[in-house]
Amino acid sequence: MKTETFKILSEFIKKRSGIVIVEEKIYLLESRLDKVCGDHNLANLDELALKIKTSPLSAIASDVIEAMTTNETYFYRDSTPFVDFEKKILPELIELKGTRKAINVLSAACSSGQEPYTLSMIFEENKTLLQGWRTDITAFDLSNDILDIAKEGVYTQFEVQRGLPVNLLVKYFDQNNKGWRVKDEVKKHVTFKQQNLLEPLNFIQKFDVVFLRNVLIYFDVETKTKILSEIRKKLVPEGYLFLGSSETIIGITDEFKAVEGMRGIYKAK
Amino acid sequence: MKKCLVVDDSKVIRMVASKIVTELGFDAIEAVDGVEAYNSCQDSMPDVILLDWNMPNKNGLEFLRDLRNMPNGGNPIVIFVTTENGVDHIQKALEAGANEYIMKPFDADLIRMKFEQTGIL
Ligand SMILES: C[S@@+](CC[C@H](N)C(=O)[O-])C[C@H]1O[C@@H](n2cnc3c(N)ncnc32)[C@H](O)[C@@H]1O
Repeated sequence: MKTETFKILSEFIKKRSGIVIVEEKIYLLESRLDKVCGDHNLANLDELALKIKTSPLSAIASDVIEAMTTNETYFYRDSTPFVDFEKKILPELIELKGTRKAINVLSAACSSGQEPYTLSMIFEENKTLLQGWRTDITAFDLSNDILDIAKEGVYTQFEVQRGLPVNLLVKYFDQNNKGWRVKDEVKKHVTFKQQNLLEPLNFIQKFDVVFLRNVLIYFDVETKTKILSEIRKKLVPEGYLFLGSSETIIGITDEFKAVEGMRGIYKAK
Repeated sequence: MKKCLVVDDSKVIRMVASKIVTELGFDAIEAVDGVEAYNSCQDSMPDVILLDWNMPNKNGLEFLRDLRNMPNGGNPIVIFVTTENGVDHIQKALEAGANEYIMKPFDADLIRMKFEQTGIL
């Protein structure tokens, strides 16, 4: 790959998605973009870069972004954050918001939907406590392709086995010839939208809790700071922020503080 | 050391599963069918059981029903590991007292996850 090619592609990807590809990760460009080249009858990445340079808004350009995003996710990912949400934060919210009886949760960079559907199952599991409440989950991602999968809500055996306890599988999924489909009672809490984290967050409502897990890792510090500041604006005062298990706010922002005893969970200052 | 009983009529599966649970820090014991598994439990009750469904002599479901009627037979965590992937089978397993259910194929990651979920790890 020409040096110029690496420069064009990595700058384009950073600009459009925030994702930083360092030179040591050049193999990622090769392994992931090979298929895009093939799909568009381009001989190699040098030709692809040339196309991107001349028409950055083409279909090829968005295929590049789709190919470079990592969509890996699963139900109840890392389990503890969801246990903390159910056992500690939800009871607190129910107590705090008893007059308005509405809880708004945001699942940012939701990928194929496992995260918002996990939250939704938690709401369903607590529906006697939440009788008469509105529990809304707004979920967004950059990628339209992955959002289509999320909206359909059909998962393979492999996907439902990772993280999801079997009693919840039989309770909240229907089995059909394509796999396991999330039941409507779980879907009804979730609204999916396309949104780029690099752009101003286009939501009227404020959220009590934001899940922003396993996406900041792809960005540089400056981008992380900007995103967290945007998220902060969309949180209610003292609202909660959940980050991934390898992510932190240290050295990135002082708009949040760590919640004692709950790893990866922060409170808006 | 916690004990894990691996019940499967396939030698290869028993070997693979035993290796995985050993690496997770368990003492692995093996049984080739439900009858052998039952005898093994009478001898000494394990902490967790990885259980195949289709086996000669006594199948996994029959064994599980018998196990849950044994003294202390309610104690072990039972995880089915089977090619039976229909929701009706899963329901039956849960009704008989299974704690978790793994649809083959499986790998070390999945076993670890289910062990964590059931609190055995
Ligand atoms: C590894 S997944 C994380 C999914 C889920 N939050 C979890 O923790 O399992 C990362 C997701 O971030 C999305 N993403 C990447 N850059 C983005 C951006 N600039 N705006 C919104 N989503 C983005 C990707 O499309 C991908 O679905």
